[in-house]
Amino acid sequence: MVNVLIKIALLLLLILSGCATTSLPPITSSTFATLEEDEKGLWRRSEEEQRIINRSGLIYKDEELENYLNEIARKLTPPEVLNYIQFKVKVIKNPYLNAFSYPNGVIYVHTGILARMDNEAQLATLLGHEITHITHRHAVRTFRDIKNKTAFLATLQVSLAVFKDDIIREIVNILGVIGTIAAVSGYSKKLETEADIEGFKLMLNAGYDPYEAPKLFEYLKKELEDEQIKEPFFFGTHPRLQERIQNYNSFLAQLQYPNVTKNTEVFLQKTKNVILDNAFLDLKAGRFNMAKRGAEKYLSIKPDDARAYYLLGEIHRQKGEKDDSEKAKENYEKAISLDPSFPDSYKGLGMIYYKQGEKALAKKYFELYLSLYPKAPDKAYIEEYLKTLQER
Amino acid sequence: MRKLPLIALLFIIGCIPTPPWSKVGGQYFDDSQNFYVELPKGWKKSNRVVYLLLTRDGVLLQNIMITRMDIDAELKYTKKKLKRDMLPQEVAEVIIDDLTSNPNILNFNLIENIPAKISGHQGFRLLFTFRNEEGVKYKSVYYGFIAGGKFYGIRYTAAERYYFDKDIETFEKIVKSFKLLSEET
Repeated sequence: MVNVLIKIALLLLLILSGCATTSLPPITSSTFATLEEDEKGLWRRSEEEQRIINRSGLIYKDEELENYLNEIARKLTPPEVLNYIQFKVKVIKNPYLNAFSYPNGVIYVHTGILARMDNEAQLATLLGHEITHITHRHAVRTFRDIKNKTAFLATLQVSLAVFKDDIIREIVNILGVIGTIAAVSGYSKKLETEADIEGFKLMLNAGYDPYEAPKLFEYLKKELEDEQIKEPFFFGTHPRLQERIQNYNSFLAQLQYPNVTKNTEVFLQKTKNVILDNAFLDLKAGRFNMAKRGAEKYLSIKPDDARAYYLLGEIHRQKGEKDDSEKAKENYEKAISLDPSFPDSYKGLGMIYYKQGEKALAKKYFELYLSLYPKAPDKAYIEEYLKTLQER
Repeated sequence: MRKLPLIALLFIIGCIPTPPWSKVGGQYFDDSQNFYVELPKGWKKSNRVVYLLLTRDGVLLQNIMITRMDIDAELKYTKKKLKRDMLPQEVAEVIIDDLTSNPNILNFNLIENIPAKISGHQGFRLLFTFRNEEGVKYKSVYYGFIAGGKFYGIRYTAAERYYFDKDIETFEKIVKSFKLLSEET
């Protein structure tokens, strides 16, 4: 953490000498000519930070999905901006609700937030917001603003005071300075509101249903409240979500827009794999209810998928509370009925019966598992269970 | 008046901080953590942490950690909980999920996950690689088991190049020598 603070302080001091204006025209403005020198520095720094993210193994690889997200970003982007910035949307394997952008046009969206959206209009709301951070040069304005304040270090400490949790401190190390401000602490209220307003206009101009904008954040807020989850990121913090809902509702009160689209079906088809993969990530993180909702949402799009039933089985087996064993068995059995060649459900059943002392059934399912998956990575455990069952 | 230098000396001694590292070697009893191990010569033990943290050339190059925690305690990165009646494979699953939910562990690659016996207890042995945020590749061996209401973890992590192979045998000897001082309830 100290290391990160030093890096941030040095970066700011090095790239921002003198008192610079924070009032810069957006790239969309006719008065915009070229990037400022310190802004170019931020772009170079952004590329370095992105290299770390891109080689970290955190990028979710789905070319079709990436193309789709980039297509929506292009649809939202004012044409004049494309002369200066090539937007690129990438997905990060992370179940937490977040998205963030770098000043050079790269936007990262977590699988967590993507999996919880309902339609393209909600996606457009999110991307419109992030695109505005870029076109309105919020990164350089933020860095200049911090530098211009007399109590420079105090301001820095306040802006980083959110990093109380270990998990956030460690994320800070990976994201780097620019990514941290964009992803974790967020920009000032003024700049976030600007991103809400301008982003909202972008989604409206592209023909999306404006009533979907606040819905996205209402769902997120409700989910966080239901689960009593404190998301460590900007999108998940309650006051910010509340402010954002209010922002959108006040725009909606003033406007009327007919002939708008949500593109629900296309969106769900394109994102269905993310929904299931993210549910597995939620399970890893021990967020059982969220994982279950993800699996059920996936099944509502693709009802006969053995992997989703297997996941439901795993959620119940690993949760291990009252009635969970029976629910796990039902789901594993459903997965087997849909795809008898999918081995993992046999293992799940074997483990439950093994713990319940049902020797014959445990043996049957473990043997089936190994026959379908002779090189299973957990073969040694299964062989040990079978040996124990033989001895008993 | 003669007492003054003596008082000053006592005061100075009292103010000398414990050194961060101390040399180890031979038998090591840790009553507070309820275990015994045979430690190699030439290694150092950290005096700054409750658990046993050893290194020879520096923690970033190689380290060995022996930790003990209540199974009810929250893990750092996953919300999953350990339970007394878990099979070693299930315990390993939770530990892997905790490791892979750690945002500082990048490019995690599980090479092996097998059952293992530690101090007479059924447990697991994981072998995996990962990179830190600077891109350095590390390799780890992680033994773990549940005894009563406690989880014990014995872990060796070293830079994959050169250092891992250099001390893996030393680590395995430490694991073999590991004994609980009294059975956990």
